[in-house]
Order: sequence, then C-alpha cells, then structure tokens
Amino acid sequence: MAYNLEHLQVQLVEDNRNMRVLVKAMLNALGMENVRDYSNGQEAKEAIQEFTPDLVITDWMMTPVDGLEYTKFIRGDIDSPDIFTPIILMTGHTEKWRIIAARDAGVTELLAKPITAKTLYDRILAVIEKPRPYVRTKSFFGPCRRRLNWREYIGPERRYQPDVLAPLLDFDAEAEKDAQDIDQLLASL
Amino acid sequence: MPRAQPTPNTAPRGEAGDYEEIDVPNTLLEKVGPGVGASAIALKRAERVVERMKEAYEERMGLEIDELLLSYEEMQAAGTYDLDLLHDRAHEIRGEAGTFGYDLVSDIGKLFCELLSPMGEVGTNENLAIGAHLNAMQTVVSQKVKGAGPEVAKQIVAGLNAIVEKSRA
Repeated sequence: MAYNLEHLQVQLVEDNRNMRVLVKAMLNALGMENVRDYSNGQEAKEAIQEFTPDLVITDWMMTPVDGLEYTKFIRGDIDSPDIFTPIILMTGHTEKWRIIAARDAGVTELLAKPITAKTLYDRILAVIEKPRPYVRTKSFFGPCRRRLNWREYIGPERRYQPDVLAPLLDFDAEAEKDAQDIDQLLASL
Repeated sequence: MPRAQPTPNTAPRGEAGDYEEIDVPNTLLEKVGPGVGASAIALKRAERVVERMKEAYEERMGLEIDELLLSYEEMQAAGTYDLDLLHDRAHEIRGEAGTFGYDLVSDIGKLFCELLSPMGEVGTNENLAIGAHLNAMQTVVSQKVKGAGPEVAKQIVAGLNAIVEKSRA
C-alpha cells in the first residue's frame, strides 16, 4: 500500500490560471483532495490562518507577493502558523543565482518547469521521505542547505571555526562554496 | 522582476557559533502512513489528466503565440518595446508547452527568454533576433511538431542558440 495523500492540506499558489488548473488537477489525481489554490502569495497569506497547509506548492514570479517572499513569510513571520511547513517552489528560472536565492529563502524542494506528473510526484515524495533538519543562523532559517550527504558532511566545518568562518558567513560566499551541492541540485531539476 | 539580475546580498553577517540545527518530527510522513512509497496508479492517473487537457491546450497555445506575435508587431509599429511583457508571455508559454509535450516550443521559448533577459535597446539586429524566435515558435505550433522534432527543427534551435550566444558577446 502506497502513501495516502488524501488528508494532506495543500496550498497551491500560482498566478497563471491555466497552470493552476493543471497542477491542481494533477494533485487531485495523485490523491490530494484538500488542495486550495491562490493566485499570489498575498492571497495565500491571508488564507493561511483558516487553512493551515501541510505542504505549500508555489510559483516564484507573482505580484504583489512572489513565491520567495511567501516562503520568507512562512519561515519567519510572526503570523506564520508553522515555520517548518515544507515548501516546493515551481520555477522556470533555473539560472544558478536564482537557485541559490531560492535555497537561501528557505525553500524545501525546487520543481523546474516544464512540470510533469512524474516530477511533481517525485518532489512530493522527496518532501515526505527525505526531510532535512532545519538550520537557524543570524541570516538564514530553513531546511539545511547541504543537500548532499548532510549527515555525513566531511568538508571543512565553516559554521564553528571563527578564523575560517569570518569570510564565509556572508550568505553568498557560503553558497558559492557549496558549489558541488548546488550543481547536484541543478542536475536534479 | 521577470528579467531581474542578481542583486548584492545585504543579509547581516553571522558570527562564530551563531548556528542552531533543529530536527523536526516528520509529521508529513505520519499523516500519509501507514502506507509506504509511490503509487504507480496515482501517477498514471495524473498523467492521464495531462493527456486529457492536452487537446484544449493545443488550441490555446496557437492563440497565445499569435497574440505574442501581434503584441510584438504593435510594439514595432509604435517603436517602443515592452520587453518584460514579451519575456513574461514567452516564459508562460515555455512552461506549459513542455508540460504538454511540445518540447521544441519550450526550448525556443527558453532561448527567447535568454535573448530578452539582458536586452536593453531594440535595434535592427535585436528585431531580427526577436522575429526569428517568434516565427520559429509559430511555425512549430502550426506544424504541430511535438517532442524535440525532426532534424530540421534541431537545426532551427541550433541557429537560434547561435543568435542568443552572439547577443551575449
């Protein structure tokens, strides 16, 4: 017997009506019956108190609140009902700097457009089966950004060593150092 | 925002020891259990949903590309170009086309977005490049070329790719 997704509460946030209809239909077909859809992050924010999602699937480019802003709201706002909510970000933009930005906003999984039923299902399964611990620093809160063997990470410990840490704690610098990690993420999209 | 470039990072610097790792109980797994793993039937069902929506999409895609071309022609006539608008529409077309198996339209859409992203002024060469991409998309849709298309289609993409590369130089 496979996972039963019917009781999961899902927020789907996508400004393109056609994509919204399509993805919602796919989610329903995958067994997710509790899917509520919104056309931007602002709408989703306003609805989150009455419909607390177990999973958020959001597009990136939207106005007035885009997918990254909505991710940051969930991860850090006082009105967020659950800062640990898994977030899948759908995006057609797979340039490296954008992927790093998404990761640093606290996104759990990335789903590259064009979306297929298989890639969508794979990301949902990844969220269920491969959760990562959350990490909090002064400038970041979200799922551990070391996706690659985070439990067995054997690279230099940049988090604790003050002499190594100083130049690396800058967000972008740390992200750049995780090039292997990012490359793997890009390859998986 | 659609054609935005990286902005400098202004996040505050952390300090040594400023780090906490939190193991969160996997409540999602608890909610979807006791079953385990993927359902081949559910996946098949979702793939059929896409198949069923394909026919309506094919008609809509043709109209969307026509509209994109018309918008561009209006911009040409007016001499003012809203590149964000072109980029946004091409980006949407690209995403949907790939989902419904029009990989070639998706590829051309991607190249078109890459062409537009750094574009500032629109002169003769830029107009030629934009026109080439839009005409290629329209041709592919009118010929109903699915998947990666025949050899000639690959040559078209290679040609457009060369245009994008040249525009970057």
